[in-house]
Amino acid sequence: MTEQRPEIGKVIVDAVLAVIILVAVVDAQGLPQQARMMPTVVGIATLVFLTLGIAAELFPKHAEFLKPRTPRSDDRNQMQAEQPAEWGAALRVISYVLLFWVLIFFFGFYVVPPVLVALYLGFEGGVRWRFAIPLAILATLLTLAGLAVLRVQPWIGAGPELIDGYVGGAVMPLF
Amino acid sequence: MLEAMTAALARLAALDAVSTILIGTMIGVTFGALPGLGSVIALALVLPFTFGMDPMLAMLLYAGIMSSVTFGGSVPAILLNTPGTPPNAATCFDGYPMARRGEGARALAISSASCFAGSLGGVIVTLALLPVVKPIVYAFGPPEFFWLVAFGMVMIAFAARGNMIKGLAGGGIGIMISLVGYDDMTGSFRFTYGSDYLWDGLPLVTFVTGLFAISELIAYASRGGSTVADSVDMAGVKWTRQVAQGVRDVAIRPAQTMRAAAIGAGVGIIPGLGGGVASFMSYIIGMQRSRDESYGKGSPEGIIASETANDAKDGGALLPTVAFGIPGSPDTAILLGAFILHGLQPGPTLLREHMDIVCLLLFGIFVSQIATSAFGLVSSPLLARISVIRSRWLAPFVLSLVVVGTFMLNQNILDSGAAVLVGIMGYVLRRFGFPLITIAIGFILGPLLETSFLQSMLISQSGFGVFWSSPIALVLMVCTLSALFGPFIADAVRRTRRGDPSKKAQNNTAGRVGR
Repeated sequence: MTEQRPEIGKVIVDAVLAVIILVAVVDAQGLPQQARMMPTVVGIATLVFLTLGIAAELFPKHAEFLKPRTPRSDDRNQMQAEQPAEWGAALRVISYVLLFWVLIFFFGFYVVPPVLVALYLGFEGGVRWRFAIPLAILATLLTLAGLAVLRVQPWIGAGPELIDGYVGGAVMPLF
Repeated sequence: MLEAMTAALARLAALDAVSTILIGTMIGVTFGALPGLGSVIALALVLPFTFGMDPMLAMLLYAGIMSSVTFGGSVPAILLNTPGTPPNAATCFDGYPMARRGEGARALAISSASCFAGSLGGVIVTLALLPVVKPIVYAFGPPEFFWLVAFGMVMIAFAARGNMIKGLAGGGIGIMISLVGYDDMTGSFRFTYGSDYLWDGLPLVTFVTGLFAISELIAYASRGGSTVADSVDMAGVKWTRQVAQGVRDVAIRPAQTMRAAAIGAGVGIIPGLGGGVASFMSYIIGMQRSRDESYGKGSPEGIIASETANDAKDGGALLPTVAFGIPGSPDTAILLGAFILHGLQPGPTLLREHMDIVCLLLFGIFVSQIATSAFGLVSSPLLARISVIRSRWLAPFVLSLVVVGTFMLNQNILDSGAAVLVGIMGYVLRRFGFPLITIAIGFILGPLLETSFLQSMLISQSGFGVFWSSPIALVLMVCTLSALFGPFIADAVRRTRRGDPSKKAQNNTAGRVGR
């Protein structure tokens, strides 16, 4: 029988979460009694569960009792994280998602979605440019039409005003 | 009552009534299918347009929207693992794996048929309870409410089958995130760290859409391929045949369907719980009761549980709205406004003087559901083909929709940013074994739990005694505690009976050597 090795990634994530929760629990102690009750109780319970999670990962043999045998003791997460991609590929998508939002924040809905959708379709999706560009423009026009029907003013971007009323110059939301 | 029902049916048979329902249904399906929108926005949008309308037709328009949004929301939940509305999140857990197996049309057909069954169940329950709704609603004070929500929280442990510790930790994380913002009870700010944006906390739509839609987008865009797994032989996939199979899946499970409808209608009646609680509670109870090994991994029962309850809730939520003027859910709150706009005062007067309108609304929901289900069944084979489109072609469009959808809610671009961050967090957490379902349940139920606990304490004259002072509270408390400790006690008993497996092995070896 091979010995089960701890997954260091899981331990690190659990530990980071535990630190965040600990900070929140400590911070909650400065609140009025009624307001701190829930964060304190839930926070401490979560800390206990995270610590048990770390222990179960580091000492799997001694942590058997933490896994009560429910009628079907399978691991749902294996389904959820079914064949996860390499971290490199995932980080590339995460970067794209972040860039998408950051550019929209600065330059708005009129210019960023068509450009970034077309670029993604072209480079990542392998779609030919002559299809990718019209598709991206069409999708953006449909979205803008939907916003117009709903009488929602599209976000024009918080960056410098480039085209009055369309690109840049929006009032900054409260951070 | 019979007279009012006859009058409502007669009005419903008119051409303008049917066409109004169909318009409402189309609006509802569209708003449901677009992540970030939903019935609240749809109803709020059409509200001003109905001002000059015949009140009966206006009610039918609302009925059409309310009942069809759920099916619309299940379409992206099944095909893209992106819930169209927050209550559809529970549908993702079984719907998406079915789509991965090339059974997208079957899953959509199950959703259509379940919506129909749920709606029928909700309407029947509502009509049956209409005369006796008063004691039911009044029986649920803050302590009963607290135990009901606590029961839902404990179900987290079941939702995280086989990974209880991570599941409970995830639930705790969800609750902690839900606590961010202004606390109404004490007037203090929690965990805002100087940010003005966090004063109102994270909106539910933003959180759920980010958690499921963005995290899934990252997963499938980085993995490549399509929703349908590469291993599935597409030549063997018969979309049209799957539709009949999906309808059969619902028809052969009357017990599960009725249970989900009862849960949905029951949760709907209790003001403030909403569709998310109905679908998750039904899903988790279904999980606990199901013998299907594939529950949570692509079982028809999972879709039936969440979608049936989700639709049954609409009927239930109407009860307190029309009987007392207490909205059972956010969309019925807008409906309440619509009643007032049309000169109808919800409450006993409405039941006494305009029972025909109440019946019309209920029948309208049901007829709209027939239209929605018919649309769902006919369009399932076509819609299911979305699941074979390459993920990297879909990803940028889904991202655009999510960003715009979450922006529209409050017209605040920071909501979209929050959805993106929640999505990235969700992706990281799921890769490291945290079930997203428990985080979502924690986020949805956390504030309800806290409010009901503090309200109970405020009205209590005897400390914690208020929590077991009524028979309903006592029963709910026993159910909650046995659900919490039951698996551990049962497991301990089982282990004691069987004995320690390692010692048993040693004894067996010793016995063999001795022989």
